[in-house]
Amino acid sequence: MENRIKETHHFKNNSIRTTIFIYFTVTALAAGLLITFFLYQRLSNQVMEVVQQENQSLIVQAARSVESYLRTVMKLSDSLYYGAVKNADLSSGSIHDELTLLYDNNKDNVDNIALFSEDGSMLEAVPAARLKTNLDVTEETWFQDALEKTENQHFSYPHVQYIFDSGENQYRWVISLSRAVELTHGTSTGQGVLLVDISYSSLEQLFDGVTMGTDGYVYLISSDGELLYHPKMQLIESGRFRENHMAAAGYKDGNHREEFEGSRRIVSVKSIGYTGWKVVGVAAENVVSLNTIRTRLFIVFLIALILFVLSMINAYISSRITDPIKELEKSVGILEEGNLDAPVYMGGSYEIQHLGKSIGDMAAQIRLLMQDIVREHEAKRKQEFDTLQSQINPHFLYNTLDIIVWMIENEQKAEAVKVVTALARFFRISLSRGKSLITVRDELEHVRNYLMIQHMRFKNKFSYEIRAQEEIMELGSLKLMLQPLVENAIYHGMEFMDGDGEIVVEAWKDGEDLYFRVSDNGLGMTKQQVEHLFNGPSPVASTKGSGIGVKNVNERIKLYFGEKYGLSIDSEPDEGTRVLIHLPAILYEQLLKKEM
Amino acid sequence: MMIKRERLLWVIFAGVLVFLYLLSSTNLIIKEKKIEVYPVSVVISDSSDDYYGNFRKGVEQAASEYNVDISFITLYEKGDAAQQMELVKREIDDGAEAVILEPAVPMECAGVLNDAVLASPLIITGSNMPTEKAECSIMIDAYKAGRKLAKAVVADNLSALPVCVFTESLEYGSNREFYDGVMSVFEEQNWKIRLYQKKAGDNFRTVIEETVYPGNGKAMVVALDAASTWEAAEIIGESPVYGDYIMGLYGTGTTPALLNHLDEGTIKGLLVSNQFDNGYLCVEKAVKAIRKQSVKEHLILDSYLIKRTDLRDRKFEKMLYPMD
Repeated sequence: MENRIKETHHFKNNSIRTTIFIYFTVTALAAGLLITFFLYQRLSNQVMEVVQQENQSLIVQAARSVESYLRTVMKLSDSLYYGAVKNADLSSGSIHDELTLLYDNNKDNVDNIALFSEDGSMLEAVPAARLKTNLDVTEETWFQDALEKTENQHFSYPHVQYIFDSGENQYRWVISLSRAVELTHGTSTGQGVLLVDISYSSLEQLFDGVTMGTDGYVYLISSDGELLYHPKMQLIESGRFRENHMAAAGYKDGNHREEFEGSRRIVSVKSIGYTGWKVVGVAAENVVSLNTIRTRLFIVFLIALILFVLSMINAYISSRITDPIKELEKSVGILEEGNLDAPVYMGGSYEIQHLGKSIGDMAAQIRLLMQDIVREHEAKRKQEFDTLQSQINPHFLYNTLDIIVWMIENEQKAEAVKVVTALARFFRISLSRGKSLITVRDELEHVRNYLMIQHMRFKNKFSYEIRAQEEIMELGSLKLMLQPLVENAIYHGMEFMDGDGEIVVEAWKDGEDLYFRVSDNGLGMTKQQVEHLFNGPSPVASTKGSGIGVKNVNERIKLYFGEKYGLSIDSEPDEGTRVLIHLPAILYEQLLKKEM
Repeated sequence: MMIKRERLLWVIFAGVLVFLYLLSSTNLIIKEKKIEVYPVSVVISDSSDDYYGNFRKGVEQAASEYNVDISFITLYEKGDAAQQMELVKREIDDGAEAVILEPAVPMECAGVLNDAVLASPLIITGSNMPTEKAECSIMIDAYKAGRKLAKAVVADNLSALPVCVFTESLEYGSNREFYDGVMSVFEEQNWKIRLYQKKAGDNFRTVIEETVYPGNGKAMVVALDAASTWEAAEIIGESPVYGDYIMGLYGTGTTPALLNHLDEGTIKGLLVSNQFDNGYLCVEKAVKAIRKQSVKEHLILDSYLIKRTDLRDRKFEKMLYPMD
């Protein structure tokens, strides 16, 4: 289980392309190896069969040559016997001329022809020779064989012919063909032995140039396994080379595999008629088969070549499959980063195209949903804004009307007119055709009207001052932003002041930012109080002030302009309070367009 | 898109393919086994190769098997060690990759060789030579062989007879060791020995004729080398009279002429060794030495004492009469 998990994990780290490539290549390699193995086996066997057939035909050819050679010699023997010896009366005439004629016709193959009586005395010999002194031919094996089975012709093993006293310091290897013959001496007949010494060198010549490929050779054995010819005859005799000829004597005609002296070899055997001799061909098996180092390397090369070509094809196929996936992955990555408008790749195979289309549709759907969310968010914000704004007006109106009532009751008609006029301006700006945004000029004018109303109401308990740069007058501001702050400064800062209260409203631009500051020299606040202003529960309406405070303004600013903008308060008890408003410095007209 | 590592792998794979192709299908890396022909010189100690028939057959058999080009060099004068050393030097200078040397006079040859720098390996045959320059030496144990021959002489003759020991020179080849072996047996038997060296001016015919003069008694002849054996056999074979006085000729060598004399009864016993094998082994070792294979060894070949009846023995037939 753990291994499987590891394996899965291992493949997780590989790309699809690598995985496809590895699987394809391993499959190709396995297929290549299998095909090569079977082809090798097949080819090897075919080569083996072909070579064995060729070896066999070579051996058959060699056997035919030997057989033909032996037939020639046997025909000579027949000719000698039936043409010269059998009908001749040896007591009245010599058969030397007949023997000489036949010898001359066959002297390439024959060393000696001799005729012996049953007691071993030599009757004729061609070429002329005499027997060695004190030599009894009846002791010779070929002589005994001839008389033992008189109906057959007998072939001896190769031997040096000793019986003739040639007077030469030479020796000759021969194979003696002997047969029993009927000799006629006048009226009597008896047995004798005809000897034909076959020149061993002429037999050797039959095998000259007959080879069985590299390191292969051919040899000749008798039916009982005795070596008659072998290219390393001498070395075998002295024990410096070994041959498996006794085993070969037991082999039937055909091809045989054997292991001898640590090497595997193919032995081809063909028997020769009459004599039972066998021509044996030996070839090393590794020469016949495809076992040479070069052949093996060539097979490795073939496998590698097949693997190379298949790997190239695999790489191409896997690229064709995975490249569109990669492209799609890139597209998804871009979508993931938030760019839902980016085009989604839709190439490659049908499935990838379909997937791309689906992802594209999904992105479009997300885009729509997000737009809906934004729209809803905007609507909600506006709704909140309107709600907040709507909280201001009733309080102020109530308070101001209260002042006006108070002035009229106190016969302060002129002041009442001033207040009513200021109130009218105040409301004109407050209404602003329902807009949330106004110019800085209007906002300052609005707060000025308010301050004037409050200044009259609080019977000049405080003084006020408004300072603003002319260049910022056309910048956009949030409506009713300063008035609640000034209201707080009046109600919470100036209530206990006796004519020496001071409220300063300032406005200025700093780079891309617009700042308002409302300062008073009133009671000030502790840090906890300041904190409470921002994070405490929403204020409820009170009889003092609008009841809409710092938090209201701060939230409105953040709602409209973003989180980086808003209020900050710097206040110390008995030191007064400075409320700083931070807005972006944007022209009113631009803000209006944006709001549209 | 192919990444750099991938491209490198393909290039390596292609490189391996090219390498395998060169390895399996061209001659650039694995060279075809060339059939090399090795020139090897055989410098014998005689002025003719009459007594080297079997040895040459062995040499030729090995030469055909190992692709050796054999130069068979004889001396202008038998026993001329200085000339022989000159010939060895000449053959090496002429490109012989190995030299098979049968030292004419081992002590003299060793003296020269020990001071010489040989560019080709040297194979020694025939006689033991005190030198470190030889890669390999192949020979019979001459002392043991001498003892074997002498024991046969003693065994064949019930009573002690004077023994004439013939040799061309005790300095030649392994004659000294052979003689020592022979002498060790005869001395054990208290037999009288007379040594006759041709080089010292002795004449074998005179010695034999003097032996057969009436009243001089009977004698045995032991020849220490093939040439002396043949010469003695030729002299003794000339007349049946010699046979009455020379009670036996024992010698060494494997030429057909000597074997004929053995067959005829002129020679009573011959000490033989497998000369075919000797020649074959010399060339085989020479080729191994050329191929830088280790051949440092001292090979002792078997020696046999054969008599007439052994000539038909199949065991000796191929050894004494090697096939071509």
